Amino acid sequence: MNKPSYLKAILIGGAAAGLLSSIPCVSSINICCCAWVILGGVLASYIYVQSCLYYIPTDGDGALVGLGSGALAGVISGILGGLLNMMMGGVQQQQMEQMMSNMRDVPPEVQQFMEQMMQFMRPGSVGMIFLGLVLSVIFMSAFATLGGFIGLRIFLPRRFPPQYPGAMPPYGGGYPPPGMGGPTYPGQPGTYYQQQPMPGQPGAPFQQAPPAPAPASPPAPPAGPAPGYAGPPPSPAMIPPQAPQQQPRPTAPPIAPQKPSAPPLAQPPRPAAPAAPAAQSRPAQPPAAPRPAAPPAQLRPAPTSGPASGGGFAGKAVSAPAPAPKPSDDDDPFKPPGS
Amino acid sequence: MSPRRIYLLVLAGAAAACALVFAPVLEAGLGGSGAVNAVARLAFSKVCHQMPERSLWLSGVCLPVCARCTGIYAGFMLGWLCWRMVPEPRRGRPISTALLLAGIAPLGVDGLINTTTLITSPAWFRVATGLLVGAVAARALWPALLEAAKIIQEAYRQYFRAGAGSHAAAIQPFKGDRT
Repeated sequence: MNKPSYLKAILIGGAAAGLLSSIPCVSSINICCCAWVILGGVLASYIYVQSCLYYIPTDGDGALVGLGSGALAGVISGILGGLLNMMMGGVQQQQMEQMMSNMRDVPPEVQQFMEQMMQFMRPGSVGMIFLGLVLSVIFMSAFATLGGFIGLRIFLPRRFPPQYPGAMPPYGGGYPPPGMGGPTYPGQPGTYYQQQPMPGQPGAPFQQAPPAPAPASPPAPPAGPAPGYAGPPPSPAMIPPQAPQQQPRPTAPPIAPQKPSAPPLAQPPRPAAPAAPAAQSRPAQPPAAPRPAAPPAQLRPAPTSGPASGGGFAGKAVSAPAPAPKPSDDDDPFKPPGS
Repeated sequence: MSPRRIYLLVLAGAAAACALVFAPVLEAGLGGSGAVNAVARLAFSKVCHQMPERSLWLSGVCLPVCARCTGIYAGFMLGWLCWRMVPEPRRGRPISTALLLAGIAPLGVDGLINTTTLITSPAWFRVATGLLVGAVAARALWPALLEAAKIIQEAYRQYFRAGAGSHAAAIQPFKGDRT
């Protein structure tokens, strides 16, 4: 059970943010405080959280994923932006000159500033492209780190929802605070879910020692004559019918002492049968409601091989309820007399 | 990397960003050629729209970032400096998601209103919302960066431990043969 890799999240988030920040028209969304960069970090964090099956990511994981995606976005955006600036620099300069010629009543300081910008927007050299690449990597990494952190805080409770002590949330909301019966998260960030192994795997609940192939009874004598028998062959009537093998069913003591009146709430009885395989990966949930007293569980011995044994799991604890007495007609108090 | 080094590294980065924001004003005051302004505009061109009508003008010089981004950089710098003064058990505590979103919400709502409607919020309001976001980001990123440094350190240790282990495993049969 390893921690998932950052690579996929970084590649997808960084590529998306870098491409969207490079396209001239689309990059105007950055008007809202480098929105593409932050959204790239959020996307990377979302992908990383979705890739976590058992590991609960921390804030540091979100920050690292955002940092990586921001660095990649800076590289992509710096290279593509530099190339686009070299190709379209003349077009942008013409547009700026046309815009300045249309502007009237412009303060001299603004006019000077616009001229300075036009000087700046000339097709850049390789040195300016490299400088822009380095600076965009630095700034995009910083903003994407924040985006990754925000994304983790948003998507982590959706991926690993908190558990509530009751089966049903209180009607109308208003959960009590944590520690007072409020939500408890399945694990601390940075840890792993306690993955429940499948029945039959090592470490599975109620796993007993492997069944010993001890024969319960000596092997039945062969139907034919024993070796060394010199007499006449026995007739079929002389051969005793072979009784069906019956395994002894030792009754084990109950797993936990239970009171017949009310079960203890702190230590509820474990479920009698192992959970379904689909629910094995989920953590143990707190008891939903008080249960009625269950009959004591018994240990069923390991079944022998063969189709008649049913193919159950070895040594699993199953609840063996006492067979209810079959009601007879004589015990029916509502039966009319004489019928 | 120790927390002190992380703090100083981030502080240096934030100070450099703030210096780059206000450097054109200093350059104009000293009678420079405008090269610093060009570099600053290039640096922030990917993360800000740099529209002059939405930027702050100081001493006749337009800052290379908009008013909101100016507030964000200044707020992060101030928040990073102030958060250092908080005592340690409280400083390393992660920020709650509600507080994080509450700090970002005013800027988001203001930006959405300015984008979708004809309403233009005043410059001081944009600076104030940016300051709030920067301070909250500084508060939020301190524990996250500490966690990230721990993760990097752990990965570094595991990488070299695995390398040493594999090396030892590779030479072990040779040693056994000799003895």
